[in-house]
Amino acid sequence: MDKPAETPPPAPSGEAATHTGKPVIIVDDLHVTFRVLVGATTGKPGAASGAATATQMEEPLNVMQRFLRRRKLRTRHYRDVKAIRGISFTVNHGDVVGIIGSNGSGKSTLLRGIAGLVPATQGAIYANGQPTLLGVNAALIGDLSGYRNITLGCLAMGMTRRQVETHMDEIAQLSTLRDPKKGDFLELPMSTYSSGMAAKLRFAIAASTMPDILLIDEALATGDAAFQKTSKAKIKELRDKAAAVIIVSHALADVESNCNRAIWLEQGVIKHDGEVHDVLRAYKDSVN
Amino acid sequence: MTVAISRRPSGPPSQSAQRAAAAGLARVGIGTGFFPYIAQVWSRRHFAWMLARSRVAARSEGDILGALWNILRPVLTALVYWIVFDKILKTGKGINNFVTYLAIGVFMFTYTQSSLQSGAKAITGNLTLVRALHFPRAVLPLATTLDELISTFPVIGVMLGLTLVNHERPSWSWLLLLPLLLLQTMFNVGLAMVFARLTSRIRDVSQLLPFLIRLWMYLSGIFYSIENRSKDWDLWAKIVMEYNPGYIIVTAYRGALMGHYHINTHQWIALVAWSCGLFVAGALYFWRGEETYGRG
Repeated sequence: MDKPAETPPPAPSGEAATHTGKPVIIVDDLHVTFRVLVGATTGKPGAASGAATATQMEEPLNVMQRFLRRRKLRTRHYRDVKAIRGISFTVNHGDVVGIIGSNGSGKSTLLRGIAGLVPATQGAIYANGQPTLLGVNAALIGDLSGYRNITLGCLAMGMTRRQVETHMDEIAQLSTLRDPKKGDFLELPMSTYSSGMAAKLRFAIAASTMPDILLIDEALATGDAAFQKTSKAKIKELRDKAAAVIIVSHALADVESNCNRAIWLEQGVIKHDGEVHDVLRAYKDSVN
Repeated sequence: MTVAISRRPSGPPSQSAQRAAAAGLARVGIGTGFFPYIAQVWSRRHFAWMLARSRVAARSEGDILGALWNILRPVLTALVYWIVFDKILKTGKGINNFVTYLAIGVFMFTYTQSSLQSGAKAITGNLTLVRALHFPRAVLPLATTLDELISTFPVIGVMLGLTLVNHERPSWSWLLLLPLLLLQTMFNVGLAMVFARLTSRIRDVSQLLPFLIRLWMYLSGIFYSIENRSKDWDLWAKIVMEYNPGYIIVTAYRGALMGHYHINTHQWIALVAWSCGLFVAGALYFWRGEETYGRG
């Protein structure tokens, strides 16, 4: 993938790195390009390809012909979506970085890139250990009870059976789904949960590891008041223990109170990187 | 949706790479060597096991007969084949104890067939899991095969019962069932790994798969005897048919369980070669794609 011509040179990362700690994350000219198939169902209605398909499909086709035709049409309609277009910055030990920007500006993709869940199209990410993404979308298995999902999630993250047992109570408590008055929802299959309940459980499972580098994606604002209280306390605890934290959030107040530095993304590039109050002021000014 | 990847041209390390090296940072999202990878998979074996067990439980969750379907499914399949091939087409002529012959073929081929089917969906059907959590992805095709193995145990019970009812005498060769099951499982894991990667790369493979599987089943001598028919075939056709792993697997089970059939040395060698070969090749092939799985 060629570097797009319009990409500005990477913003200097030194300006916000007021901490003297050593670097724990280095993002070096990161590009992430998604290759999307644009076919009959995803293209614009009435587009040239759609019309051609309709006329060609008049004669009955056998399965093999349909198969070949579909492959041919689809390969013609690959479209590149550049989610991240050349981002560089360094996070130092002790930094709590907030990433802000409008929907679709590449915040979550950047976070998943740092977590190693989305491969870099170009550029590289270096980190001290495996960064852990704390998302609300750690999807689990709906047919299983909450308890079994906890076990499954913990095993997937690499815990041993013994570690799972020791964490079980803590996770159940953090999820706030086990209530002496309302009963134990963790015994029910997850498919019976409301979306908020499922999000709580996922958060509790993800938060049970004590990661060195913590990436938090919109996890601060899930759930009811009781859960918000416990989850905030938990995030604070994780933050105090972690070497560095990156938070993606639309709740600017959360970013302001948690972070010492902010990065403002727009259309896959860094628009502003610096001290949290400066960046937030610039961001708010641009929105109003 | 996939992620486009271009390899960085190998040049001198960038300034950032040098700084990263100085600070002791490792590159994120870069796969490990093959043997460390296998070690990672081994450390997640409990995860694979639990994933497999929960799938077995979830499969017949909404059905009234529940887990009984794990037995009813192959029995009904065998019944259909028995009606069509024994009663109508009479392909069983000249085959000793055709009902048992057919049942062993159908039941044991089904294990490989369903391992292939669910293995092909191991990545594409678990994208949410893949995108949310870090674990060696080989756990997924391993779990789908384990799941099929677990559901095959009751089927084996039915198969042994049917074999006894049809006047076969239990003998020491029945003990061969265990090594055979191990070899077949290795074969199935390899197959699942290959097709998991293929399908994650080209989704259309899953459309083609049912036809491939059907063709393979018809070629594997499940409801007719290849030996009885191969006399006037060309040499190459004979070799392709007789060393086809599907045929070798079901023939080996018949040799172990039925007094009239035997596994010869060629077949043993072919079976071990297919199983170990595909197991290793599948693992290597899958491992090489590790960075690309469902990370869109």
